[in-house]
Amino acid sequence: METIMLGFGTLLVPSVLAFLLLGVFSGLIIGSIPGLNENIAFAVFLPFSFSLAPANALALMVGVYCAAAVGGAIPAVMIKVPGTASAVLTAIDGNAMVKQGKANTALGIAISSSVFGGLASSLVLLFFAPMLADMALKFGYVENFALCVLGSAAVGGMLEKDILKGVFSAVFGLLVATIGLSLETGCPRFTFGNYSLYEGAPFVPMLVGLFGISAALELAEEVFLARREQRKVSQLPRITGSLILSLSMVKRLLPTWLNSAAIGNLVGVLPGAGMIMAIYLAYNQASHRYHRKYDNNPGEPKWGEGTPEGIAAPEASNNAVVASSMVPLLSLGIPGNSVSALFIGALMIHGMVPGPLLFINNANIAWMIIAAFFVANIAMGPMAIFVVKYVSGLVYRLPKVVLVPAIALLCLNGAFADGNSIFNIWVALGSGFVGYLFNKVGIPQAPIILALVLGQKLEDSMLNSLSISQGNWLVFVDPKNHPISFCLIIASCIFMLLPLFKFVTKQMKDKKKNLDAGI
Amino acid sequence: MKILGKTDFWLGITILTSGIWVFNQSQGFDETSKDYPLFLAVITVLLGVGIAVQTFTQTDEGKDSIKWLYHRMKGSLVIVVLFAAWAILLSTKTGYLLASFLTLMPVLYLLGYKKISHLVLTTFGIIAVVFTLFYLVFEVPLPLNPFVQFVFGLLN
Repeated sequence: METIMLGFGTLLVPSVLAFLLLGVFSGLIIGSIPGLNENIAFAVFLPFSFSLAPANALALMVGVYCAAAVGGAIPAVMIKVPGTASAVLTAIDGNAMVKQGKANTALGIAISSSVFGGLASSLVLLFFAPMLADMALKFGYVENFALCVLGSAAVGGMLEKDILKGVFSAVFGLLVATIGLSLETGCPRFTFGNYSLYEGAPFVPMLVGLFGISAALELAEEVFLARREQRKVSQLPRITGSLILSLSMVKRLLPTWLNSAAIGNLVGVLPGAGMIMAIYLAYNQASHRYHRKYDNNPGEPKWGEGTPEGIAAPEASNNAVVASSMVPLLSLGIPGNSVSALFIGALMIHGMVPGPLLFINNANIAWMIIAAFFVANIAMGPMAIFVVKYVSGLVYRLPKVVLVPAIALLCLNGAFADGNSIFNIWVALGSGFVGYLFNKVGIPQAPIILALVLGQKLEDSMLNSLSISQGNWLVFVDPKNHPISFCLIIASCIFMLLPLFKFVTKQMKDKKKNLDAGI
Repeated sequence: MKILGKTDFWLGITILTSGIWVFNQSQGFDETSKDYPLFLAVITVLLGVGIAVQTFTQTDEGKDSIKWLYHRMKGSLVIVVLFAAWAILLSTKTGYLLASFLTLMPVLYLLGYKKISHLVLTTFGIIAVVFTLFYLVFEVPLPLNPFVQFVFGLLN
């Protein structure tokens, strides 16, 4: 308890607190711009932080990191363009809800869920960091492979309409992830002699293309159709009314928040798993719960068509990952994801080495970082409401005709900014066209992103595990030596078989209905 | 509707063909690197067949014809082409500002902005905001033409 008070004592100095709030505000703005993400924000603030006192600099970084994920949800909900990768699933139900004229509810759910997830994981970070760090150490190649399989199995939550197209989307992502030099032998795969592809297909340009450019093309299609049919182009719904959730909605979402925050915390602690896996697992989990609870309720929308749980699950889990990804970093010096790797840079600039010694040599700073996560999440709620109402709200009042080129230009600039390469613009444009085409033919885009993130890790951990076990495939289901892997594989099998089971029973029901109707 | 006019049928065929292409390409990789893409290629082929076959059992909704798809997509396709031209212009010495101006004007015109003053002002506004954000705030080195570079050099 003393150490926690030490952290809060260091944080509650006015200048440190001011930098934390500045970070939260900047993170919200940066996150809400498609193409800009926490990585870019960190890269921008890192040199700037050099001239600041360590506590101020790190408070600023924590603020940016916490808020960027929330900022990413704003365009995801309003125009189906995720500001950051962690908002790809929020876009599905969030935008569907906006189209039903409930923009304020959708944004309110996104903000409240993020705050809940963030606060929950800050508390976990405050009280259980050392215990969780021990768990992270138990993850070797075999466990990582099983975790990737579990992550891939989470696609099941998205296969509502057409199971074949959903699976194809995931396989397409896995295939794209094989582009580049093979990690094992260095053999170039699907690079066509292009050196820009040797490190793999660039992720950020693909993301902004698949979601941002394709959303701009969808808006353009709407404008063209309206003109052809000689009617007025509809405007985006205004964000009017309160963004604070009603008590009944809070009660309804509480189990989803708890579940998703727990998933986010567990996944965040594991090095390399990251936000994307967490949001898919949480979304999948929430979909099962939703089907159980609301499938027979005629007043409720179908999963993926504007359900509150579909927004709450990814938002609570992605913000839970933010603080929990600090557990392996602060306790062991192992970065949980790319942003926490940049955080190491921020610590080292100020002469601190992350790991167990940080808590001995710089206890005040180490505990201040943990306390900052807690305070940043509390500040995030009102600040996010302010940004939505007075910053983003103004942008979304623009006519769709202006939004089309603006979104496209922002996204293509974001793609360029990730590596300062014109090749990235081509990747974004190509992915945008593919995403738009996939949308038209009913192929969901969300599984592609998960597969892109997991693809390389899946292959790498599989080959390494097999190499360690002399090609023994049973190593993944060995309950004696690898109990974690065994449990994860069993859970994956359940996740994979559930949609298949649902698909078969639905087909049988339809057939029976047709027979009864005499078709 | 005839099977040959359905999008899903052609989608299945395209996926199947892509799967076969990936399979052939993967044969050229070394022993360790080819197994995983080969496995994915086989799944792709099976999915392609599945999607094409599924078309035979689907009910006709009118929204799954190639014609419908083309009708919906043709305007957006022109926008993709215009932004592709923008990317080509960026690779030349046209520079970011002029290239964006030359691209956004026709995009806005296509979308229904016909009045020249509105067209120019809106284009200018969008480019100014995006340029300020990326070039000036985030210091992204957008490709500028030599003249603009010279002007910025003088200002600095």
